[in-house]
Amino acid sequence: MANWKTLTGVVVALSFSTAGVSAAPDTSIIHWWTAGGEAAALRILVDAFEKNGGKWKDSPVAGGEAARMVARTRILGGDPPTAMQWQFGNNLFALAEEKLLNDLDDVAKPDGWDKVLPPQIQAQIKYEGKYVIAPLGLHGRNWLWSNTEVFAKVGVAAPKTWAEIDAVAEKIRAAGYIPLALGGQSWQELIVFETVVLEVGGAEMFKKVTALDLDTLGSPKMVDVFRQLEKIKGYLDPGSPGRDWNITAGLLTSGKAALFVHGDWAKGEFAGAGKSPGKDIGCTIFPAGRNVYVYNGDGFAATAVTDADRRKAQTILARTVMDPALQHAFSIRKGSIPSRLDVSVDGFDPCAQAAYAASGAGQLVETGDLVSEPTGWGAIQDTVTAFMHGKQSPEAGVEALVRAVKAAK
Amino acid sequence: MRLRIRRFISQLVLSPSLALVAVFLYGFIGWTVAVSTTASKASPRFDRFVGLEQYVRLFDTPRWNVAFSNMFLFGFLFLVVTIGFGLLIAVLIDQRIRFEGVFRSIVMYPMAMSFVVTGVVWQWLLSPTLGIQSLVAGWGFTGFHIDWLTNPSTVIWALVVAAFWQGCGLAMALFLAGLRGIDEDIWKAAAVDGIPAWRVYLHIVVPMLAPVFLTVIVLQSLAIVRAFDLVVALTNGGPGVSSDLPSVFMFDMAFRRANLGLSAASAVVMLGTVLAILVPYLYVESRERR
Repeated sequence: MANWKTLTGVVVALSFSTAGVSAAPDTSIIHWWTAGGEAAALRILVDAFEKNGGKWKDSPVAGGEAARMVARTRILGGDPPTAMQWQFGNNLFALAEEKLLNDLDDVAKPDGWDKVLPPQIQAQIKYEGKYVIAPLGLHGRNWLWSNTEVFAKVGVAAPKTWAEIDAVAEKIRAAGYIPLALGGQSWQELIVFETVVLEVGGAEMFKKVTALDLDTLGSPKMVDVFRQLEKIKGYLDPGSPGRDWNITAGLLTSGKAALFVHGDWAKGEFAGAGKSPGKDIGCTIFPAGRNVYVYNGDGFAATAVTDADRRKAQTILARTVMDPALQHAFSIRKGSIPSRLDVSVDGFDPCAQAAYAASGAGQLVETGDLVSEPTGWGAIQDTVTAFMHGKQSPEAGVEALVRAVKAAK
Repeated sequence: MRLRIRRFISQLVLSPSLALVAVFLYGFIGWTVAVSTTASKASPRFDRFVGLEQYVRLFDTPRWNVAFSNMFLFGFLFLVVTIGFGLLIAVLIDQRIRFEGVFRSIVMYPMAMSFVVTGVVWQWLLSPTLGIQSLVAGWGFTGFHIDWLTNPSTVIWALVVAAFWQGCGLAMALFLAGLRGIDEDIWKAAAVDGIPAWRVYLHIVVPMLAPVFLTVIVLQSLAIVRAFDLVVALTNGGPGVSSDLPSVFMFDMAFRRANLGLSAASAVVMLGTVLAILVPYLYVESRERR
């Protein structure tokens, strides 16, 4: 998915960035919400920002990686945007460490961010005790989606853990359905890998994996994880390798496949197919009983500009992003959940309500994108996808995993 | 005196481009080599010298080893197929056939296409649900299937076919030019001796085309080492990492995995591969000229 967007995004952006060197202070705001549903959600933010007295100069770049690269290039080239969409965690801290950001404590302190944000998020967005990003929405990764109609026809209850899936997969297959819809691209397979790690070793093992702990990566428990991946290969259809996620989601909504493991952004595809999440498409924070919600979050960071105009724009933006009413409206449109804990759940679908409850119950855990060293986390992704498409034994898979992560350290 | 002025002017005119080449080509090559000896992550850091460690890591990374050996496998298959068919088509077109221009254009046209378009076209053609397979199945042959793109052990053939479709025209054109350059008298002499045409080609003409072979091999080899857009558009390195190539690896490490040091090391290894092809070629060329 990202590859194309990245390439075109970079090309487009580089041509813009050279053309955009001008004398007047640039109030542009870089973001990567360019696709249909995302753009509609962004519109809500833009309207609120302008109502609060800001002036939004749009600088969209398709693809998160590309957008971040463009922002970085512009900052280093002396032409920083006023603000930019950014991820929590490592990527954010890297910017703060290089002193490229203004902190937002002049908004966060009086508005009491400490009281309304989950502690897990605070840990990912504060640098040296100061807020360096205004957090907007959280997307969850570990979801199991099931087609209610298919399970009614097969005559079994929808499973909620990998063990339960193992028990019913044969029955689903015998009834003429694909047990598990999976798009065989490395980033989608990584999501499946994460849920298996959660099932085998819970939050504790998951955190050690994202910390790239070599003992955990080479442990017998990891062999169990790869054994489960081996089983999962048997639940797929021949068209899986290389398939895009939205087409894969279509297998679920059209009733060809029974189950789908994917992040909550898939809800947009369900809605597009006229299926409502929580009813036609059942949802489980997966695996059930582990009480972990693996999330990826982003918001808007303010660059280290000093002139009063742009400082003011940054303050207005931070306050807008953290406005409970805005977060409520934005989340419904985007399919994410608010970062604040005091937002009304009116109008949230049952899945979003479950996710929001998990966030309130302190079950948030960061995905590797936020907390891992990128080369090491990428090495895990490469090894898992090689295993899913190769003929390695689980033991050999674990060996390759340790070797790849070691080389990346 | 006038000669001296002339020489001065030509040197003056050349010097800006020489300076540009020095900075933007050799300067950046040097910069890349320097980065490859550091532990640079997202941005270059020259204060973290690690010597050759990145190269050790590189060849410890399973994905790189797949990509690197893929380059040789893909390169070998691609060269054999392109040279074989390119020569064959050139010979056929050389038979003074009617509508020669039409056939030449047909073979040459794919070259006008970018690799991205080629990749997408072949992705659709080879897709089990859209392309050739569903067409043939629609005719009633339901047992027919092509799983090149989804099978890790055959995906390299998908790359070869697409690259061949694109690169065959160039080989054909070079061979055809070589064939047209062969003295008519040789054919007449062979005809007088009653030698069949295929033997003339095999034993006389093809050996005379040796320099053309060398040019084709060098040009296509460079295309292989640089191949990036074709893989990205056709397979995106998949399934798994089975069709990964060094250039894709390099891009990923630099721009998505924030590891400039490792990326630079892979770039230097690629440069080394190119030089291993180019240097002997230039050596042979320069010796011939003397």
